[in-house]
Amino acid sequence: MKSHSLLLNCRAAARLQSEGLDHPLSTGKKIGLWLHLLICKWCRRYGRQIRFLRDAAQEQPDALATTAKLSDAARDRIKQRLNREK
Amino acid sequence: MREGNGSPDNPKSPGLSDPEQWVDLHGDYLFKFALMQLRDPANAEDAVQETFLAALKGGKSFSGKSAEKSWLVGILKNKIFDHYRKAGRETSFTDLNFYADEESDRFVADGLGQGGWIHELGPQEWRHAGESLDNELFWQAYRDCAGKLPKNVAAVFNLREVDGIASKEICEQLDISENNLWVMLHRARMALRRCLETNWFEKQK
Repeated sequence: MKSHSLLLNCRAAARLQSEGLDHPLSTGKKIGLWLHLLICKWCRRYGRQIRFLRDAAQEQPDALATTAKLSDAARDRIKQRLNREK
Repeated sequence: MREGNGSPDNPKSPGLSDPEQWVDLHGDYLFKFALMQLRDPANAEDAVQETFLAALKGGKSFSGKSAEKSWLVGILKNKIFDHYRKAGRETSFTDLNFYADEESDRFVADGLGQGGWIHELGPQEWRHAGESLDNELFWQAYRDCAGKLPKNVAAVFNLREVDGIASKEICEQLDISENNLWVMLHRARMALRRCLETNWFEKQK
C-alpha cells in the first residue's frame, strides 16, 4: 500500500488509528492522520467505534461477573489438592 | 501445616494458615478473571488451581483481603502468560490465515480512490451505542464475535484491551515483535467491529 508523505488513504488511517491505541505515533504520522480525519467521516467513525469497543472490553469483566462461578466440583477438587500440599 | 500467619492487624484473616478459605474467598473472582482471558472453563480452573498452589509455596501474609486478592491476581496473571507461552509454542502466535484478511474487499482496490472505504461497505452509524452496554443481548453478541477470533489473536486482544497490559510487556512475555502485536490488534479490532456492526448495530432500530 502506497502512502505519499502526508497523504493517507483510509486503509492506512485505519491501521494508524488502531496503533495509536497501543503506542504514541510519530509526529509525521499524527499529522497525516489528523489531516485525513479532517476530511473523512468514515474514518472518524471507525476511530470512534474502535475506541467504543475498547471501553466495552474494559467493562466486560463486570458484565461477565453475573454469570461465571467456580463449580462446586471444581471448588472441592481444588481444596483437596491444596490439602495434599499442606 | 503452617502455624498462625494471620497478620497482627487482623488476627481473624485467614492468611496463609487456611488455604481452603482462600478458595471460598477468592476462587470465584480468580476463576472469572481466568475465564475472561482463557475462555475455556477447564483451562481457567487449572489456572486457578495452579495459582493457589503457587501461593501456598509463596509464604506471605497480608493485612487484609484486598491485598491478598491483588497478590493472588498477580500470580494468576503469570499463570495465564505461562499458558499462552505454551500454546504459542504449539501454534504460532502469528496466525497467517487471519493476517490475510484485512477487509480488503471493503476498500477501493485501484484507481483514483485506492485504499478508500467503499462507501456502502464502510463503517455505518451506530445508534444508541452507549445504551447497548446495558443490554445483556449485546454482551452475548460481543462474546460471540470475540469467540470468532483465532485463539492467539483473541489472547492478545484480551491481554491488551481487557486487562490493559502494556504492549511492551505483552511482547516480552510472549516473545513477539511489537509490529506483530500491533498488526494482530489491528486485525482483531477490525474484525470485532465488523462482526458487531453486522450482528448487532445494524439490527437496532
